[in-house]
Amino acid sequence: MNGSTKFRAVSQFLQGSDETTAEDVSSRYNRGMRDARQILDQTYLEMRWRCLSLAADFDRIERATGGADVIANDPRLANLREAMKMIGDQSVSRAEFLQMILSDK
Amino acid sequence: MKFIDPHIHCVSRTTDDYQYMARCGVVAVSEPAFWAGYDRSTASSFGDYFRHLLDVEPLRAAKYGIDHYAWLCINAKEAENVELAREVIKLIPPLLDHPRVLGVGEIGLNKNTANEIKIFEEQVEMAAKYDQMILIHTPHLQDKHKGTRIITDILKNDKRIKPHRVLIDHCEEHTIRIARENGFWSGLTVYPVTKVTPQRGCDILEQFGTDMICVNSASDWGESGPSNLTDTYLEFRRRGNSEEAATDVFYNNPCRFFGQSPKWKLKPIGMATG
Repeated sequence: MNGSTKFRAVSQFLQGSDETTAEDVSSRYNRGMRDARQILDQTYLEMRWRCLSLAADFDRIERATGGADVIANDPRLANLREAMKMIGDQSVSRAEFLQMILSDK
Repeated sequence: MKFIDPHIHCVSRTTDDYQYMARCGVVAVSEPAFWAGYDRSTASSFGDYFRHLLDVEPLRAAKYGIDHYAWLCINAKEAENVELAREVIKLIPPLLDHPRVLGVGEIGLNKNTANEIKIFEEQVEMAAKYDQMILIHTPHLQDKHKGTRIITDILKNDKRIKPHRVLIDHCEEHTIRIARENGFWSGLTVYPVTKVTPQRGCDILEQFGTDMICVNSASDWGESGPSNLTDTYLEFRRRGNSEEAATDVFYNNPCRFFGQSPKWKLKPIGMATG
């Protein structure tokens, strides 16, 4: 599509509003590299539900028979607690640091 | 195993989904009127949409052996346009006797605005006047808790509304008590990105029991699908729950709620295990 081509989107056609240029459409569909805000906008809901899933995982373990003991003492859950703290505190390379928390020492 | 998906937007789904549901044992669905992903410009658009829900989709579903029912309303998002919403509401009463209409829904709130609340109240009034069951849409994400409170307060304050004839849908961990403690049916929507996952859905069933809870996929034009319902069944069974308990959740409970309408023909099967 030529960048100078003029056309109207269907909603604009129906409303009798101004033409859109191909550049407008290009900027909508071919964004190129995303900035931080765009990445967060596109990823937030998935981050949110993964966080909820992890909370529910802990709850489910705690509700089960022997749950209090496992929650308090299992070293794998201790690793995950450390990981969650690290995710909040660390400034870069969170995934790398997390892998090391979860690796044999 | 037979399933009912009590909330699915078939108009947004492909024939592949119907084939999937048929293969999995889905024998009936109910489809509330909802936001199509864009705001419609005229009431006549809704008239056509209602015709699609009542005359077209049941025939499409029947090709796969699936019994299709619907609910009518103007959804909460488009209710923001009060003038349009009132025109749409006028279309609904003559359609309520249609054999495929189970009631008024999915009404509720989206962003908890004054306009949404106004139109919600007007649709509750319509449901009460015509003695209809109600299917409630609760808001998404950060608006859900406050919106669920507003909705249930409005419903409780109208003494004509019988809670057992209302299903509060899209409940999650922080809202299901509001529905249950006030005597309403509740719905769990397995829609992992914005609602619950199969695992969290089963957690809620285990914590609150299976009485007066329906599980649905609310499959629509977003990242959703009818397999979320059957995946939840598999998770439920994987945890050691019996086939009878699963039948109660995934088949009998929708029959019990919808069966309050004489138009709904399917009956609960097997023995309930509670």
